[in-house]
Amino acid sequence: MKERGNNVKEKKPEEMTLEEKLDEIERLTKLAEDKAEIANLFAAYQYSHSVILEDETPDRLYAQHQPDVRHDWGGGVLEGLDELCRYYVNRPRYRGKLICHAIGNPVIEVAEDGQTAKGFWIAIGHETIPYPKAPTLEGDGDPFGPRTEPPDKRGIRKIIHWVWNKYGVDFIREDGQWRIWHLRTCELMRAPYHQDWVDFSLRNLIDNDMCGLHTPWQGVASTPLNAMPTRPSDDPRGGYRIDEPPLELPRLPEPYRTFSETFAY
Amino acid sequence: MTQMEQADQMLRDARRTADRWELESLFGRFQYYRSLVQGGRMMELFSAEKADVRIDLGNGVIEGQEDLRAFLTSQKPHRGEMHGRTLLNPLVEVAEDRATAKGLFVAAGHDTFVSYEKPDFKEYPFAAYMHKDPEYPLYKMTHWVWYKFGVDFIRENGEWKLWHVRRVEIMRCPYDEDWIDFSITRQKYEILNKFRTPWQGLTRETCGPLNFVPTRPSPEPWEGYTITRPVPDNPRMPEPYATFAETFEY
Repeated sequence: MKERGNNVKEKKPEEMTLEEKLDEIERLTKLAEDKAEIANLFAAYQYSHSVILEDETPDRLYAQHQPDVRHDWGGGVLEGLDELCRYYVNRPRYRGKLICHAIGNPVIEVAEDGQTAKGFWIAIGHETIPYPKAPTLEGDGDPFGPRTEPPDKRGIRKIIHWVWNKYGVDFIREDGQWRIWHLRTCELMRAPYHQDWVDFSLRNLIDNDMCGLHTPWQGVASTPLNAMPTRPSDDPRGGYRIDEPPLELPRLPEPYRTFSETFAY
Repeated sequence: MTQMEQADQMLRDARRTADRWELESLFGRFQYYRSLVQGGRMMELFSAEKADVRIDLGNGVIEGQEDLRAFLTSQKPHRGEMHGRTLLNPLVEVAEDRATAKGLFVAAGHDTFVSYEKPDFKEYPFAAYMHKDPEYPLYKMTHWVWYKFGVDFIRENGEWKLWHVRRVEIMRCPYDEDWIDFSITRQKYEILNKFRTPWQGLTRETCGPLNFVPTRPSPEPWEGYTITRPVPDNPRMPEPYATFAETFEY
């Protein structure tokens, strides 16, 4: 068997002393607690996003003492706690805004040294934003603004999208508490509720990324959302494309002993 | 109970709790590799020692090391192909002896295929569902699909592996069609009828790269939602058990 990380070879109980058994019980109990805390932490991140409690997100959920704490969403990277605050604090709370990303498919690996951990999830979800008037990127500060449908019979313009995302996350223990260190979001699929995602991806390509989702820092000097990234993504992605096979982004975590042995999201 | 007996009991409990997390991650890996169409890596997650490793697809069982490897590695990813598979609702029971475990999961998902040429069954297993786009010069399929999975896990050389996987389709439909309608119209697809009884009159050669010739029929055949039958209790939920001889197999 692999002998990396917490996949250590088990000894049979009859071959163990009482002290060895107690050590093993302590190690496994700690490991189970760590995984439960990490699962709760990332669920809290998603729920905060859903109920737009993001003002609190940098302080409550992200690492406080890591200069390279970051969120890479494929369209850019926000790096450093100040940059994350700039993004998360004062996020627009439109009336009628509805975000739901429900995570499943967890793959969690805690380093053998217990100082870091890696996680992978896939979220099923949807995003809704109604605009009473025609939105603009600068005026409304939401990168999806120009992607609305034409006004409906009530004059409301809407974003009503299915959204599936994949997440790769590095966690770090700070002052005895697990924190998000590196967060990588990869959009898997996005489409209006009534449109197929092949059609939607083609429309976006033809419209030359009209909403700037893929390169939101181009041509936008400043927005109320403050969504300008610190730097471009190392591997820029904008979601599903018909000209690519399924891509392994993000990679799955593998068992490891200490963070220098593994990759960073 | 002596101090040593108490420690043995606590050690067994701690190990079973750790197993529970590991099994959920293992099946999460399987689903991600499936979504990436990485059959070789899916095969690595199966037991290398058990002769009866298998996947039961509801319309046939692929069983045995050779058949399973041939089936999984025959599928190659296409441009524009996408499979969303998000495992939810985990119900996991580790045997008291920790030699095996059972899991039941629900996966919410979607399937997408795109081809610039008229697709054929040998290249695209879902060719029958791929329609010409009214606007763009391509053929495509964009389906919602939900599955249930019943899984037997086995510990091999100290590592958890997949042993038996049973997949039962809950629902499938195009993005803009209701699944009652689709359950009726899907019966009209001629090629799908081959899918429904794939072991009749087909060989590896006629099936092409998909190699979908099952080793044997499914013990409880099920081809997805239908208005003509009640929803089956399949796969069954695992119950707590001491050793595998006491329980059922998926």
